[in-house]
Amino acid sequence: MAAKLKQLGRYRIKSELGHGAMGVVYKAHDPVLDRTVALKTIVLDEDAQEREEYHLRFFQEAKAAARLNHPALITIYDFGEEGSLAYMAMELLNGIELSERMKQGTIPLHEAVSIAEQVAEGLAFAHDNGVIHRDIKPGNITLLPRGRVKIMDFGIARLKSSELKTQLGTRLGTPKYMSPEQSSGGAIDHRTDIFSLGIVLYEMLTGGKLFRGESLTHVLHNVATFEPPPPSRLKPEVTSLLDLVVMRALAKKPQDRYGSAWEMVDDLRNCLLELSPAVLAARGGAEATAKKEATGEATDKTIALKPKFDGTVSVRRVSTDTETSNRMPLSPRFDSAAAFNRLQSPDPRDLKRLGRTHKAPGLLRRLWLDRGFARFAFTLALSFAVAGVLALS
Amino acid sequence: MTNTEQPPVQSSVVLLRIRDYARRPVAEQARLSAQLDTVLALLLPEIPERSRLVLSGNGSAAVAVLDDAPAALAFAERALHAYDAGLDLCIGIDHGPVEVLNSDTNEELAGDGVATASVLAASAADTGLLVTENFRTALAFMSPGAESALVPAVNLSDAGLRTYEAYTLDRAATVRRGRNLMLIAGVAAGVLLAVAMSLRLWMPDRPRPLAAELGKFSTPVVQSLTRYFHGR
Repeated sequence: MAAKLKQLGRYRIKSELGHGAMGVVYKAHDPVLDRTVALKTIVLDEDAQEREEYHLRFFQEAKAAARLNHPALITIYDFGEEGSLAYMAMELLNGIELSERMKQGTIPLHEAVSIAEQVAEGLAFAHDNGVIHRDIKPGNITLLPRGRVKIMDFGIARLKSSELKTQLGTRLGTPKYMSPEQSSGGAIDHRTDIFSLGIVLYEMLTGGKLFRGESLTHVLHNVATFEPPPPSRLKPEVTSLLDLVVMRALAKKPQDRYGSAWEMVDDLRNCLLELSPAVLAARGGAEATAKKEATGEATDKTIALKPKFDGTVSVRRVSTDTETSNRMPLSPRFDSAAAFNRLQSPDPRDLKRLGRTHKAPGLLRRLWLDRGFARFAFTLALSFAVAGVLALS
Repeated sequence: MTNTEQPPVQSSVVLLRIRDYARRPVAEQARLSAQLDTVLALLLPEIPERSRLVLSGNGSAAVAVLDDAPAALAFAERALHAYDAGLDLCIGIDHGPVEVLNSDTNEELAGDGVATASVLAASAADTGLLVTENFRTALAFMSPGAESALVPAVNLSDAGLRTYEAYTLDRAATVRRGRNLMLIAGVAAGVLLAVAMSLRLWMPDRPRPLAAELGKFSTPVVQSLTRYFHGR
């Protein structure tokens, strides 16, 4: 059907570019303005209700995207409907998708951060205008010449203020790039895009997929529960500031993420500054100095422990907000090899000693090792003996 | 892929969590993380290398101390002093099972010891330091008497209805205990001696099985004192 299409509205179809979230994308010519455009189409279903829904969603997308005018966001020119097809004419981009770029090989650190910074800025602008993208992934980010970036496909973008509700049971988005709240079908806001951008940035930095799985359920489970190690653990050249930016964007709870994409933009710009060649060259010496200063400061000021306990025993529930984990990775900054080896290949006696659970100490052990108790016991015994002698002599 | 090679061992896990870390700006997070690393670098030499594993998390760090609960408590106590350097830590300690996990990308320590220490650290906002009953027992076994510095602080229950009897550090409690023991010993000694003296004064015809034996060792001075005491 797609190959047969020659004209749609005023647009002359030239070729097929690919498939979008909900339809085919064509390269087309606009004879009125004499320019080439990308024409995104969606087939409206035969079923009246489905058609109504698709229709609403498509025009919602078009309206949402048309409201946005930013260098990092694709420009929408026009939209309309003809027969069983709805269409949207948009800027034709001359670049490659980030997903393709990632397949070609590792993206240099500076470039990865620059891409993320531009995407974050585009998202911040969209959020300010009440639009959440909801499907940020490498396939929806196009890299243009001279390092520019465009966010594509507001195919499932939703107006924050829209009254149109997402159909119940429909999980819009791409599972591997969804936020935990989005994958669980919970209420979402602009911070879902921040999480997705965090995944994209993580993958650009490490060159691997973050949330993998053999099935959709497995992927969604990983999105909700897997705590990824900091990127620097996989790529040591990733700076600690960049680690923090990624881990903050990837916080499972929305309230622990960036409150706004602008904050992420600021931090990514700081990371870019940190990654600039001059700073990198100076970093070696500066880090050593900073470490010395920090050590000195901590030594000088660790004077006295401030008691904060008032002595009353309370009963509390552990907050459900509490983020706890039953596993932690070994710190790369401190050498734990000796103890690690001891645990991995202990001698039988050591293993027996380390494996035993402790009971309260017995009387003899307490007498032998507890000086306070030993004094008490000795005083009692001595007075008992003296009293005995006095009474029985 | 994760695999374990050895059975779990018991370890004291000291988990240090930077208070409100997630809600702070990234620049401050970076500063606090660096400070936490500095604190660890300062304090870790006090624990023998073959007895400690250092773990790291987002805004937190943990030290698993093998077979040395007193060293774990001393480490935690000193780490709390970092408050004066602007690093506000919440510390949780548990003595529980842990095991080494080797995965493709990570070497990890996992187990109930880590999980419980993590829960306690997350709940230690008021007191700064919370330890479990298990840790207190391990401390009592390894260093009897030292556990008296850990006083009941809070009873926690989590969403899974698991309860934790948590204790906090109160060094004054050790002094109080020592004072109380000496007071009890003094009173007991006084009572015993008073009873003995009463018997001597008011029951002259009591059985005196030790009198003959002690008479052999008595000097003239003791004899005169005894006579004076008995009014003879």
